[in-house]
Amino acid sequence: MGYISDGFVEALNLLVSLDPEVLAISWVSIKVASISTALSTIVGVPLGFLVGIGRFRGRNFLVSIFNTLMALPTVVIGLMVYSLISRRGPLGELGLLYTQSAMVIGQFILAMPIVAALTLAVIGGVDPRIRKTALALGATDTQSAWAILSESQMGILAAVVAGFGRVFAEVGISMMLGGNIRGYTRNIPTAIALETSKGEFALGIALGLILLGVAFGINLFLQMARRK
Amino acid sequence: MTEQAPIAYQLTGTVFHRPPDFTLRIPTLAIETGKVHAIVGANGSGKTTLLDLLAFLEPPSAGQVIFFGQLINAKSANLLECRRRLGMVFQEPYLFHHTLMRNAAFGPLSRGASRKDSMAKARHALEFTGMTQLQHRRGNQLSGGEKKRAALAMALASEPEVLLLDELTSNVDVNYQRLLEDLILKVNRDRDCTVIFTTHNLDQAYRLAHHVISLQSGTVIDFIPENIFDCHISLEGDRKIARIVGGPAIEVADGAPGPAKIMLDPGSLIVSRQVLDSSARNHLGGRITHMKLHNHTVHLTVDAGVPIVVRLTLASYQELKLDLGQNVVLTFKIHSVRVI
Repeated sequence: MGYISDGFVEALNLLVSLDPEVLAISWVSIKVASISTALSTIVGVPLGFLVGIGRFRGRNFLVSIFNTLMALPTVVIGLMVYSLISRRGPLGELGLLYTQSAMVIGQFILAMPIVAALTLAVIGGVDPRIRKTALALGATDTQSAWAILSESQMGILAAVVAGFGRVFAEVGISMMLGGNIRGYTRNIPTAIALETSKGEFALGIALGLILLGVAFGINLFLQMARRK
Repeated sequence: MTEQAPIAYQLTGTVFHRPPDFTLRIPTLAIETGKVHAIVGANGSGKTTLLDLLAFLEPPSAGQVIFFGQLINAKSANLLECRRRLGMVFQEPYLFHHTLMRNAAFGPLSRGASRKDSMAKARHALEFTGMTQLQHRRGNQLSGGEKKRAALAMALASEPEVLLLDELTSNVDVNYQRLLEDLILKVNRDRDCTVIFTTHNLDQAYRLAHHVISLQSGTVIDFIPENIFDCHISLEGDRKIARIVGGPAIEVADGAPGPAKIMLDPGSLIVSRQVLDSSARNHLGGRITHMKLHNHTVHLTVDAGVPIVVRLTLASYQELKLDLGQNVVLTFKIHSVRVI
């Protein structure tokens, strides 16, 4: 049991001393997850919003698709994108495999349905009085849609945070499409997997603590925003 | 001869469907400008639906509405233009997650007013409704009555020509009811604004409104739904007798034997100090328990086993020298009783 406590103490040392490798790995995680979440937000929020307020043929089918995609395993996404961007694939010439861009593409496919589906759920459950009130106060259809979006901002923020949390902690996509290249595509989850397989618990625990810290920080931020 | 005020709304053959299965049908209805109008009726009679139609949240399903000379029908595309001439307060108002000031500025901002002008209008509306002190509060920090007043300020900030109020005084205590009623009259008086409000409270309707519109089962009716009683009709010889639940028995002209609802028209009941020698078949004795004056008409409530409302002119009232607690006789013909 001593190796766990030793690993924990060493992990704290790595964190306190701002170990360059820990920082580099964390930066890759934050950078890639942030970009993929931002892209997922840009696409997923309007998509979820439009499907949420819209009443059209095939809406229920679209909702089912979003909900199904939410449960997509990361290795399946990794496999799909790998087959497209590997040297033999149709997009092989772009040379995307084992790059941060490939990780962003995979994580976007993972997070976008989550953001869209949760946004849709938020908009679907929005108080119908918002639209009626806005229209009665002289708002146009666009202004009333904006009012709905504005009133749902906490729910939408939670959808975005859920998307970020999912991509920040995933291993499958990062491993298959990023290749876990040290100093380039190695992020926190892939580094933890590698270090654990090598029996190097200290770095794994240190990165695990950062992962937990980021998750805690985001939830704290969400709580504070809610209270405001 | 009194001069008729210009018409704000003229409804002709108007039909308005409300999913899943409610339909409002108004053959004809004219609403004058500058007056206070009350819409009364039982639950489900269509009060809120009529208000929604008048608010142009959706076009009528059929027929037409002429709003200040502007024609609105099922194909109209000018609903926004009309909506911007009116303000509405819903029965359960929604306040956006901002301060009261920003809520009140929503209407003017939506209409394209500058931020400065919108804030000025919001401030003025909050002042008018007595909400200035709460201007920095958020919607979730207000009580039920304050929310209603805030919603009124939101509607008034856009300086509407018509104000639509859905059950404004419901779910608030008596003091707040008075305050809101005073505001209704103040809006009409000081802002020359046409006010249309729905209410269950007939007393309030008579007290505040110049005109009372009565609805029943989705259509306008020509009587006020007063003096409605549950009864049981039975045949006694060649006469039909309706025994009012917990009250007296009266003779009626219509209705099949069995349980029924009847209505006594308050305007067709004759009040006298003694039994009249007349052809009328119904004479009910009772005691005056309540009296109020509205537009030169006296409304008496007579306890005849059940409270019965009677309307008589001020002159008749003075001539009869009626007073509270006095025993009177109500006389009416069998055709004055409607089986509904």
